[in-house]
Amino acid sequence: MKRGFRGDEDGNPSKVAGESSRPPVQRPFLEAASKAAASRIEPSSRTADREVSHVATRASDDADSQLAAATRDVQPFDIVVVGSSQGGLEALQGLLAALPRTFALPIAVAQHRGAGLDDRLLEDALQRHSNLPVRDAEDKDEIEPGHVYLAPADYHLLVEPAGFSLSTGPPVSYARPSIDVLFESAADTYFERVIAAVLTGANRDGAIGAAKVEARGGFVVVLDPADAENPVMPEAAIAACRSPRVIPLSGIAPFLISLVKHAEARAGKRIPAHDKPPGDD
Amino acid sequence: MATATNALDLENIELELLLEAIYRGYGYDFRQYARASLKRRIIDFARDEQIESLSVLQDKVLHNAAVMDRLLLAITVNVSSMFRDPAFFLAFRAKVIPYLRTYPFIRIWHAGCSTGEEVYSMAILLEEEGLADRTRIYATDMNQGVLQKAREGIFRLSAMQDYTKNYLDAGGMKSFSEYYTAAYDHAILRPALRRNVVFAQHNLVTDSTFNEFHVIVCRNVMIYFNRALQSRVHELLHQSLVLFGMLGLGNKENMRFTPHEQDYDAVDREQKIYRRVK
Repeated sequence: MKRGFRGDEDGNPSKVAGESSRPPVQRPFLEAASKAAASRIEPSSRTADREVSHVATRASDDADSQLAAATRDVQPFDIVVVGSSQGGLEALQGLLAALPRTFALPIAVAQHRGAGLDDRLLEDALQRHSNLPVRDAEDKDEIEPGHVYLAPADYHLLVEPAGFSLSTGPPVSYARPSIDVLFESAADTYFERVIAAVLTGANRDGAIGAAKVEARGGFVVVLDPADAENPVMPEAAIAACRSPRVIPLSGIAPFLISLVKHAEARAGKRIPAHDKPPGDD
Repeated sequence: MATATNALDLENIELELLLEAIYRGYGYDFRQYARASLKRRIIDFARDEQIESLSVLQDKVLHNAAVMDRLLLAITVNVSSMFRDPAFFLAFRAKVIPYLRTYPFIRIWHAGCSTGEEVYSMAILLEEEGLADRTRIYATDMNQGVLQKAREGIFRLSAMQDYTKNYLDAGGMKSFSEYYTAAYDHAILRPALRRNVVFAQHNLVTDSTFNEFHVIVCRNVMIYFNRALQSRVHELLHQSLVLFGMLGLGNKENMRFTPHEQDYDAVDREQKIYRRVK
């Protein structure tokens, strides 16, 4: 489960709902972290980017400066996790339709859904709009770039170092699949290499998970509540996070694409998380 | 000066030590469980018990068996419903029952049966197919507490509405209410349903094979294991299945990457019903 590099939690953990039950722990690991970073990132690109702060911005801000702020001194990302509920089908169709076949990251989606005899419906409805292959995740599936994985009806979907795992545990935030479960496991596994996107819904699922992604150094994108079929879920995520990027639906895919490109370009060669020592799960 | 590592690493160290302590103190082996979901359940438990760290939890577990009992219930996921995934039971009726009719006596193993919802579902199905009295169902779980509940066969009355729908979707032939008596807010299943059921403790992780079966149902049990442990359990299931016996997995599980992938044919690809052919 150990990884080569790990970000500082970079802030006050007591602000973050998911972390509040943990005791404060000293973090004398900054030095170790920057040493690890130095071994991975070109020295020239490092110094300049480190100065850039991580500020809350709205969609109206200039796109380039947003991107610069967004990418900090980031490593490339390993996964995009997406959460949605009411109104999610259309939002997801819009998002996926705007992502190219060449999109380089895996995308894991927790969309609240009922269990029925035919659980292919969501898969089919999204595939029709997507250039990327879409399917329900199965237990221990490998997480492959450019694939869209859906949390199956009536299961939680979790990200593990070796792939996905499923759980039939009790609903979390009244939901199974739960967005919080997906986001938190992604944050625990991929640290700062996670992009979490919260779309639309009538409840607060995803807020705690998004805060955790952020606390581990990952990046949070939220659908502009004004553009959401139901604003409750994105509003809750915005309230729970320190610096979420709030974007209208049409802007999310372009933003993800440039965020990923930018991070890749800065950090040089990316090292996939599943290239890890054996026995590490 | 020695320095501690960061919070997340520390938590992972504490988790490893706790699992080791549970194994050495009680013999329950969770060391090869899928880590993210295991960790989530243990941390939720610690929070519910107002225990401030996994190290403190380790101390309590080792010195207080009652805490271990509660933790065991929290770690093992015991959420089920009758005829969960009705399509599985529908496929079972269509594709497995005809094969079972060819046997004079049938042994079915529900491995990891939890509180018994699926066992009673199978018992009802066999009843309706006229096979109940030549079948013995062996229902096992590692946890004595849930086995006791399974033996009682008492479920929440409020769940019956959902179960009735599942039962009908699963090809049920009668009125579901014929199978239980309502008492206050509980539904007591007809005791006759378990006349051919044996409930027994068995741990898939640490125990070995104990019989040969014509059907093994092990649905949504191995999703909590990592791949290495899944492979070991598949070994055990393979040993416990007669040639041409049937294996039923959860509908989002699969045989890929298991050592016996080549030894099974898919009987129903969607519902994850496999037949042992080697």
